[in-house]
Amino acid sequence: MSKRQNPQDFLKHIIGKPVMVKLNSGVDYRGILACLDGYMNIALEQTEEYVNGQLKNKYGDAFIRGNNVFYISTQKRRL
Amino acid sequence: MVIESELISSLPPPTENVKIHQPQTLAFVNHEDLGKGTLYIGESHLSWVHESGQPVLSFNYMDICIHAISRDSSSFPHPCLYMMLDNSSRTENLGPENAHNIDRGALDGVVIRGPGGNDEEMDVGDAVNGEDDDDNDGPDQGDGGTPGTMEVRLVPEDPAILESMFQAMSECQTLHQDPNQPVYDGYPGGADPVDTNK
Repeated sequence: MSKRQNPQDFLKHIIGKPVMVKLNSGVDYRGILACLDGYMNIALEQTEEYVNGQLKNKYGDAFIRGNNVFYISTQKRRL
Repeated sequence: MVIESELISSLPPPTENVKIHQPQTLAFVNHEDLGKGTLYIGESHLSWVHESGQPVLSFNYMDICIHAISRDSSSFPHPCLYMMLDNSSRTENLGPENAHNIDRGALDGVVIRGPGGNDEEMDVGDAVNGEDDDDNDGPDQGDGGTPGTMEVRLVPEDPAILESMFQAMSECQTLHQDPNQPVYDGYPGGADPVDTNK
């Protein structure tokens, strides 16, 4: 893996990996990052929705509008 | 019944560039069963029309902050297309001062933390900007209850078409970007999706 990465390298690198996407509302979504675009529109698979840290819903596929995204982070796989 | 919300537009169902036209679709708003009707997923907007002709629920894509396929029967008994509507992030709904703040928030807020070496060691907990543990923060969003947000579930008669409903909505979503939203600068290809087939 390269020593230095810019953000788009990072984004390409995490496709197919488990990520957490936090929305401005505070709700977060954890799932496998399927794809994303420059607007930060994000498609997740095997998605879990957490509200106040509690699992509320599970979705197969989910599409999140970019203007609601606060941040995206990689996630350790839960055992 | 009458549902009043600024999230519901008064537009008639779309007549042009309709990607999905699905009769016999049940609609639920915040878990309330509205009955059976016809779903229209158009490039301009999305509508559901009760089989009696009323009510007509129309939604703008810019207000749909997430849509998803839900097959989790523990939270809802039917496989459905789930939508969360929330217009609070739309800059055009805010005054100039707030719009400015939101712009800054969006620029500063969409923080991509690049791995400092080995990203497998990254944890959710050390993500960004003092936003520490993800538990127990953020506003309380009870089940379909937060003002300014709305949950809509659409249940087609044949759950096998959920995938194509989801795809159609995803395509239409990307046609409706907030003009005031900053595009991630320096992104290869601008707003084009990252190629997943590298």
